Amino acid sequence: MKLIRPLDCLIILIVLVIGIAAVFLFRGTTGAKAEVYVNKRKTAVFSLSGPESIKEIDTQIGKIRLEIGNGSIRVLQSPCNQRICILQGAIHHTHENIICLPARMVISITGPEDADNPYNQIDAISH
Amino acid sequence: MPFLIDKLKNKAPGAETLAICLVLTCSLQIMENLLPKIPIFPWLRIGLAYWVFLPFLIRFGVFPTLILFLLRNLITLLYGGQIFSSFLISSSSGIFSFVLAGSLLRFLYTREKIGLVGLSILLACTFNVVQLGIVNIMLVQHADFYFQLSPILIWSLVSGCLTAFLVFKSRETLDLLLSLKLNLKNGGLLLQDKPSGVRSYFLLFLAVSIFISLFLFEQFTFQVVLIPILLLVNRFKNLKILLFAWPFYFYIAILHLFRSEGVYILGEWITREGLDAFLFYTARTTNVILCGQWIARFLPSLVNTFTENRYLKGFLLAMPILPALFGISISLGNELFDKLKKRRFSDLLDPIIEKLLGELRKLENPGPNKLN
Repeated sequence: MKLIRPLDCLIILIVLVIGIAAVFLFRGTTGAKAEVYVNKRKTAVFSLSGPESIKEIDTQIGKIRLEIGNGSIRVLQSPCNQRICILQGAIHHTHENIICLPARMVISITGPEDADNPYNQIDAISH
Repeated sequence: MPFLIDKLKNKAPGAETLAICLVLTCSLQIMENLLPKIPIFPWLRIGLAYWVFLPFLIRFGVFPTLILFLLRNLITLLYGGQIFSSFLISSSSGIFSFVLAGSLLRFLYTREKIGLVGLSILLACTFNVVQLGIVNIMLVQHADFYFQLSPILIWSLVSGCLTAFLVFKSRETLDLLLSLKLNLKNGGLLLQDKPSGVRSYFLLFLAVSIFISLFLFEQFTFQVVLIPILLLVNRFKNLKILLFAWPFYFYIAILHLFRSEGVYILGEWITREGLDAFLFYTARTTNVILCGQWIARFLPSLVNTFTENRYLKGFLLAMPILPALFGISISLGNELFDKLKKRRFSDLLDPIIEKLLGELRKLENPGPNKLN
């Protein structure tokens, strides 16, 4: 039984390079809005600007309490078992997500560039 | 010195090996769940169970390892409080990664192209990336989610190296474990008044129905009513099993009693909602433990009643040891920390495997556990 062979060093190097490259590939910008999805359906959109405020989201396992403001969003209270969503803390940048599997809830952050999106602008006019 | 793990005979594992490995992987997972989580990335896990899965894969191949993995998941769903969605995601990721990468990596390892480190890292990467993909398909459906790829790959490097190191250091013990032959005689496992086939099926049906209802009926009253019934069928014996489970009650208290929002009923510490959740999960855990203890009384007798399948035999052999799972997990944690502090890596697994073998040998003398 051999602990390490020459090819293992190459594997370590490749995984490390892909891992570091992924940081740059998916590097986020400062977020502007937080979108909340429950069961894949968008249920709320919150602006991240402004002072901190508390919002509640209804899910299949109960209410989840969110703290939004100062450019970030985090889960304050959740009736889920392992509280991974709470432990994840605040998210600030685009590409970042908070996922609560028991509640089937996903929070994702979108950037300010989305406001320039022509589809979003059309939506705004129609509303 | 050549190790049997590396002598690939492609033989299916013995029922005793499967039983011990099953309880060991469950203990490792429960112990890992009790460890504090990493801030910012709380979903990252070391995957200590791969300490057993890796040599199992090398020695026996993909199919037996997959069976061990799925049985482990099933047991932790019942005992470890794992949520059903986590069970589904973990199981499907395991199936995909073992089937997709398991054979190829095992082939590369046996041809001496890669070492333990390479095998462990690539398996960890495959499992984590597949899991990420499944969560994305099931729930998120957004390419941005692959932002998590970076921490996951880097973490797979760390956890893969650690697991490979642990396997390497305990290779002699693992070698013995994977070639285990206890020669437990059928008479040891079979109770004197062997139940008939029909009765066995009825008991098994009853046990499975109770287990399923424990999870379906999320009613506190149902759980409370069931406790005295299960105590009665167990004849109020061996209640220290509930004491062994104290860490899990403690864990439930941390999760629910002190951290739930609602109407305060005791200072600013405990809310009515927290107390309700705590009582419900405590009652359910008690029922799961008591039900397991009850099943353990007659399941060994089923081992030879209607099955010759070594995987099912292994699973049934593991059942009587399961009620002591929490006690085993804690002593495993203590032993590990002690030995890691003393930097004694070579015999990390020895004491716990001795304990498990002791539990298994007890089955040869079932004593008063007779089926009426």
